[in-house]
Amino acid sequence: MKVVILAGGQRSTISNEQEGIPKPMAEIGGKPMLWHIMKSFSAYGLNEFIICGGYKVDMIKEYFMDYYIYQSDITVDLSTNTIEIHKNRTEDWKVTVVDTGLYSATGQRVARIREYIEEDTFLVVSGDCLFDIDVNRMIDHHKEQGRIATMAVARPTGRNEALDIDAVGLIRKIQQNEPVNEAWTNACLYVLDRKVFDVLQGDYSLEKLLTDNLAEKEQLTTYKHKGFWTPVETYRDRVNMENLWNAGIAPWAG
Amino acid sequence: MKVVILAGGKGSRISEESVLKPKPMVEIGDKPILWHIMKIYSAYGYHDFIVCCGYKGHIIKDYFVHYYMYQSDATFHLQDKVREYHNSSAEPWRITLANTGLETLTAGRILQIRDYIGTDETFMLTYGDGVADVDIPALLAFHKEHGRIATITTTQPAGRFGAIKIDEHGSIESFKEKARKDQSWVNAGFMVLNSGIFAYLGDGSEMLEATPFELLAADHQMAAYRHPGFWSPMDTVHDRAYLEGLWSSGQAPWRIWE
Repeated sequence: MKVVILAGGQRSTISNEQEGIPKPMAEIGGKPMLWHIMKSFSAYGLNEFIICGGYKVDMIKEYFMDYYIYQSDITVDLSTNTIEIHKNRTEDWKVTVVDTGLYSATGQRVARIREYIEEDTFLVVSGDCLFDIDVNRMIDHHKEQGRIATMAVARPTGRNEALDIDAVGLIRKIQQNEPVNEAWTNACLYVLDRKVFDVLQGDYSLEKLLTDNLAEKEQLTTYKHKGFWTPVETYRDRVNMENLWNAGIAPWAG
Repeated sequence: MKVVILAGGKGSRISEESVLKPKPMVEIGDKPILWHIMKIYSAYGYHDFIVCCGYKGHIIKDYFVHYYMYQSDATFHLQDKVREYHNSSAEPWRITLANTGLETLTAGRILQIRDYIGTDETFMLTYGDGVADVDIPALLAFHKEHGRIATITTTQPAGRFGAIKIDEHGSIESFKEKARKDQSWVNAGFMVLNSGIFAYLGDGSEMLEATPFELLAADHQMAAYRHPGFWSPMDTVHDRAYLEGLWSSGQAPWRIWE
């Protein structure tokens, strides 16, 4: 099953780089976010990726074109202009990088990679979130439910954490790690049937196209994920994730 | 003989530049300081390099993977994916770029490139952030003569502060501008090591200059080659501006090549 990664948004605001880089290329522990996301799918045996690039898509192409060089020790012989690869350490991945336009909305980006999807079911994930969602269970859930689209939902975290507010507006006791009530947010991971392409018309976000066209027909279901999930949108998010990674306790790394 | 260059550190002190690139890739003129260091060895006929990469090592790899193209005129036939290079002025270098980890300390980096040293009895090692006009053949002769496991090049850095002698009434008696000979001798890199060094590196969890050097010194296995000439590290933005100034005025003392 193929995993489509949305990686076309505008320049990252989470790194110090003066020259803009695409958000999914911002590094955590010396590896791009994109790599972390792909590793988390790879852990479930999903090794085929389609990356919807846009802003500085060339940087993403170059990264994967030279990936085996980055992962291995190499010897460059300048007198013959040859490169020898030692201890080749790469991944068993098939990565398709597609330029889906500079200003496209996410729904349109997915519509534009249609020709690369041959199977009945595929996954779409946003390139700026990290999570420990059990992808195989989510796919099983999708099949059981038999709807066109399944959206993973998670508890809001960090700054977006839901507060328990009583009738007069007072904040009740907040228990750490114990989200209140039934507040759920879009975790930006979808399992979709190929039929979904019929509703991906126009330049709108994927979320809007799905809710506008499928919700009423009861074709949009959810998969509730109670584990780790976080967007990585600000410099602070990135530092937090880097600390987890460096401490060897990154939940998304399984 | 192989030359190992340590280029994996984060280089936090020159941070304005090294957020974007690892310190050895910070440029003097339009070439990375790493290139300048390699040119020094190359001028004496040492063309075989092992670069220990770490922080943003992919930038160093990209540079050398494309170096031949940078040093040539190039024709690209885009339709048939053919690339032609003309009039290459690339150096006859063989450069092995090894991933030695993001946070690894120097002793660990050296342990990790042991395979690339192979069976050579002696190799050279230097830091990827310092240039000097060290007489490499004289350094090697000194190493051979002393027969120790390690020889390090030492130098008296230029003094940063003038020395002022003040008499009892508070008047200045004498003023000495930045006296270099009063400075103590410091490690300038440009080392020569025998393969016996590997036995001193422990599990690689330390800086080379910590326990490994302490043990070597205790065993009388370290010799200090006194380099009387030019040496400068590039630790700060100030150092970089100083080196850039020397280079652009055509007076870079480390430029011992044509």
